Amino acid sequence: MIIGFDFGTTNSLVSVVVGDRVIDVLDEEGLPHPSVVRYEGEEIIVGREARHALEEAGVGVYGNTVKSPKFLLGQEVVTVGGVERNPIDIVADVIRFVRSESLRSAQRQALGQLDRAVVTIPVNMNGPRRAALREAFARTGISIAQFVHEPLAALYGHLRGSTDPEGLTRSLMKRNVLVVDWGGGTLDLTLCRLQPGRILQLRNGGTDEVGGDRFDLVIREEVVKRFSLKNGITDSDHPSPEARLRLLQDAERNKIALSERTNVTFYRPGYFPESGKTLEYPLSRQELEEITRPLVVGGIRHIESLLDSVNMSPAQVSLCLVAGGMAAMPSIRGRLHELFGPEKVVVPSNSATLISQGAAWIAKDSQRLVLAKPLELEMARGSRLPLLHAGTEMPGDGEVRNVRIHLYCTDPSDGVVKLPIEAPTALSDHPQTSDPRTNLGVVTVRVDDKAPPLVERLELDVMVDDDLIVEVTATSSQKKDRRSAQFHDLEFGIGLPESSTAENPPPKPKRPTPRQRAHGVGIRANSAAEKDQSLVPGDVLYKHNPRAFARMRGTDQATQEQLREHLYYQPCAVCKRPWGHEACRCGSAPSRSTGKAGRPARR
Amino acid sequence: MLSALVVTSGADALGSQWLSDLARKDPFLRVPPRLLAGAATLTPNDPVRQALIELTHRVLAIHPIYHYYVANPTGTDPDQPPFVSSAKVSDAAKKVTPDSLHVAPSAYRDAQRGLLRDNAVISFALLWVLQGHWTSAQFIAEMTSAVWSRPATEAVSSADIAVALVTAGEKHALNPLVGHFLVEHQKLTAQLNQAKDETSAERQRADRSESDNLALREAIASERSRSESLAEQVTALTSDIETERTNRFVDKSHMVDDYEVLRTQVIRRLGSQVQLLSDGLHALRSGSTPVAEEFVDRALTAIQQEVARLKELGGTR
Repeated sequence: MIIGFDFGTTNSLVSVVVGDRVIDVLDEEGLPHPSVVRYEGEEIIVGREARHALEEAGVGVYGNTVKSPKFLLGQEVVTVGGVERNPIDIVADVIRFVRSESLRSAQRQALGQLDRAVVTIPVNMNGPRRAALREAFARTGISIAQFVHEPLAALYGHLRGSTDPEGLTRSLMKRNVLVVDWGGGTLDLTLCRLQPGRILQLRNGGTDEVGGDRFDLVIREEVVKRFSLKNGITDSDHPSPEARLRLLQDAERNKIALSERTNVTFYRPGYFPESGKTLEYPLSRQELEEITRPLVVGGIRHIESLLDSVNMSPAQVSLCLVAGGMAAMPSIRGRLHELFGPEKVVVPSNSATLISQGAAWIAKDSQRLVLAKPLELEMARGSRLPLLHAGTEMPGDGEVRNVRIHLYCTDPSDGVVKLPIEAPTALSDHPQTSDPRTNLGVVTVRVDDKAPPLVERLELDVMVDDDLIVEVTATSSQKKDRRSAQFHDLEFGIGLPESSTAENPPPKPKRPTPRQRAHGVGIRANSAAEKDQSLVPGDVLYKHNPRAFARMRGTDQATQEQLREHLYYQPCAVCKRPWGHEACRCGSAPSRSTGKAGRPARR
Repeated sequence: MLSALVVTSGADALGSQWLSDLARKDPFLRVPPRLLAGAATLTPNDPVRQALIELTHRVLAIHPIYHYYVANPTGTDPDQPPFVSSAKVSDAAKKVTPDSLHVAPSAYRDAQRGLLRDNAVISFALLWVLQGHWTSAQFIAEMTSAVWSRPATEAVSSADIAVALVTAGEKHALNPLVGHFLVEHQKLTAQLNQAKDETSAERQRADRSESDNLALREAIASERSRSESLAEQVTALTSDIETERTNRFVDKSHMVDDYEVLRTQVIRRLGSQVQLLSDGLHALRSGSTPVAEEFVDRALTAIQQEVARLKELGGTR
């Protein structure tokens, strides 16, 4: 039995598919467990009890309380209530609580041992944090079958849980879907496209600055400010922490109430202890929208920014799926309606638990994550070698995928081989050379600078682990240098409901082709998969094989490009000026070099 | 062996050398049958008969058949098996070589071999009859098996056979022979009938057994088929039970889910209204009537909505 586990920023819960229905395992109040933990001496308080005592919004450590501890993953140690704690242990405390509470619930029989889960993660959770999260789960006795990004899980859950999954999938085929997960702690965005057999992520984005908790905080502060101004409350009249906490809870409740009513009243007796005044402030929906507009606008701006990053207009989005607790807020819904059109914005009734439900369906359907875009190596003269193809299935729990590639160094003159790793910006099974790429990073490895071109061999090992981390390791045969780099900011896809990735094998690799050089300063990649002399820069080739530039044409003659590269570094044979010098009248200046590449004058 | 023969006084006159010479001159035993036939014509107490028998006995004892190849021909040696079969004499005759008969190999061909064998058997059989060891029936049986039943070496016509039977000795010589074979025939007929009866009975028993066997096979096949049918039913029922169990588990889980959703929603709604009403009561006591009214109104609205929802749920059942 594999369950879905949404270890959310604000709330966490477990879902499981029983029969044809997904069941959410919630707490006694029918709500997910708040991802909050409080340490009181030896006692560890997790969930709603810890959450009720916290009056702060946002994520992090507040005294002896940790809110959304998964954001602490990646740090060595954090101080909570004066005690240094390992973030993995803190996260494990929350997971352990959710597990034990779920196993005590009325639905415990449907959960089995609750020892294996598909776990959702934020789109911006990097590889080391994913590894730390896996360890935290392991400490509670839960092995992670696989990670899946929260918005991707939400979309899968929406498609799979609909009354007509096939029809819905068909209607969205080859169309763009924006998943907006606007929860209590963060706004997570994922732009996806439905391809035959797969859902692929185009671009991810998000922020933790416009979460629902911040709305509550802003509402509380604004209500207090306006009331104080109207009633002459001085700054010294500080309410007690307990009163502030109660008012924060009122803010949350009234925010929800204003979804259905036009007016509510904040009423907190004796809120101001110094003056003994009761806070009583009527708040209209209009005022609420005014107060929260900056946050709503901020969130919408992130959405627009995400679309801009892929040159996509809102009209090109066929569905805006809104998940998370903030989906119920009219102002947010209204802005999304303005942006995409009301017919495209869908707020499912189960939006608060949609992510966990999606994870449960993914577990039930045994779907595996696949790489959405190929991982490529840029080689000499702009050709590209796919290291991992789009559609490559990601390893499951405890698995590792390895690929080894043999390369040659085309230009060892600076003693370093540059291996730029990149991915196409847009989704494409067969990316073209002219398609824009996103550079993920460069692996450099030292080589023998005295070696002739195409002599020193390089081994490139590409490894993907179950934490979805790609590690590229380059080794030079002569210099014996070995360098590694990790890449974890990747986009993934997942099979559509009722399909498997096996039905859609990854496209066959295409022979790398040269491309037009982009403008600006860039790294001159100097590796090649084949011993091809034409890939060696002309100036380097001349040093090691001058015969290639002889007038008598032979089989290993330099190409025109190599000839030009060679001549570029040579002074003019007549006037001894550098290449392209204004004063050179011998034919090397760019305006006069067309056609013959300046060769007669420079030799 | 031969030395154990009892020699009567009449035979004492006959010297060994003379007997040897006599025997050597009759290598194919042509004479002993005639001597014994002659003796048979005499009365049993006739001393000539005794002498002829003894003579023949001695001559036969000297002959290589009996001398070399036949052990204990008289049956008097207790250490040797008794010599009671003309078939053994016939077999011994086959082993005799020309050298032991003192004849050239060219003079000892198949015809001579057959003659020697027949004479040896006839001599022995007559000797045994005359000595009272055999009855006429035993004699006929022995002769039939050793001599008469042997296929003729040359073709004999029916006329020859008829003539031979008509002219063959006296009528009383054929009568015992015919009588013997009639008795034998009757015995064999009786045995044949008995065998037929037994065969018939066995066949009937076999038929019954076959029938029983067939019935049992059919019964086994039927039982096996029934057993397989039952096994299939068990499998189907087990599968049904498993499916039913799964369905029940699923139904139960869904019902628990429905119940939990309903229960927790009611708890949430009521809980929040209690909090709202508490605040409203506090406001009322503090003189903030509008606030109290709003809170009560909100609480009532929420409770009414919840009641309506619950009624709707009941109506959909």
